[in-house]
Amino acid sequence: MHELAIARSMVSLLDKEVSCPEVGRVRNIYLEVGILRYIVPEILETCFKNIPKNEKLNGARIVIETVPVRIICSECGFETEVTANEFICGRCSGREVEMRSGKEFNIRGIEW
Amino acid sequence: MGFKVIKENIMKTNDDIASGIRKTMEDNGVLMINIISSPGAGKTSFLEKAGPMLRKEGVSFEIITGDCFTSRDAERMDAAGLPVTQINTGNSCHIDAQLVKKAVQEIRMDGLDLVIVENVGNLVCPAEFDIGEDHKISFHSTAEGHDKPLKYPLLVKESDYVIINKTDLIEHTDFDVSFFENSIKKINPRVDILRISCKTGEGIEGFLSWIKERIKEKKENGA
Repeated sequence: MHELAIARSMVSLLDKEVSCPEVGRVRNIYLEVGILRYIVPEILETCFKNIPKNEKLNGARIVIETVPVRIICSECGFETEVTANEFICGRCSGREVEMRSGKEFNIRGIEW
Repeated sequence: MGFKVIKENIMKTNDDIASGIRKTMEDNGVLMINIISSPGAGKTSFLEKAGPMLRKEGVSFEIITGDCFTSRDAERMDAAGLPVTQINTGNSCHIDAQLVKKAVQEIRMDGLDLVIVENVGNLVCPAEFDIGEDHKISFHSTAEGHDKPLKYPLLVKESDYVIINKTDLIEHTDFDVSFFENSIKKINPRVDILRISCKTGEGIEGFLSWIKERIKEKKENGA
């Protein structure tokens, strides 16, 4: 249930962002979440709904863009999209790889 | 109608506090490890065994232990004469940087080599929260089954050391050691894997060598 702690962090960031007068009642909150983060969207929505927050955020929908795990091979330089538990180059099967994406946890923006 | 680009890390508040803890540890040349496992894998038993051995080797350490409701683990370690600070996380399934910060403030850094954080038993949430540690240790046991690394890849990816406990039970289970170790290597090819049994004490000295090396590195880098 890390979603509760995460929803609290979201609210503390968003409360500041919506405090300026030009921001109206928020309709959508856009998140970018790496697949390795094991977020359950429905649980995050429920937690977010139940946390006290700036009234401009009440009723806002959370829209999650899931980011796949992508790796770059240190041996051949090839970029591969992989499953979360096999960090192996798709071209040379090398295991010395660098992770390019998959751990994101960002609020991209809000729409009102 | 309007749109505001934010592009802010949701974990920022936690990560900022974790950076502060990391700085405190660096300034004092103290190594910090974060032990993460399922409930019942044997973290407390491991510390009960490894603690006195560390002390014998002249390593000065403090343990911070997290538990949702009880102080049972802290009482066990206190009974073993180990220096321990308890964190109760209440309804939270992990330790975050704020909780660790409070515990660290209670600890005397003078002459200290190592802070060991025993996280709440859980393979998902603790892997998400940076607490300012130098190394995460992914701690497993044979009774859980060999598929846990595949099921919880973030923890394995983030860890610098993997310990597999309860090797004395292997003959009574279907635990496949090579499947377990190969799964880890597919996620984190360079990580060292240590096999131990807290019941028999087998393998624990391997942890002592590993940790002493890390403490030495930390002191050298900090100097």
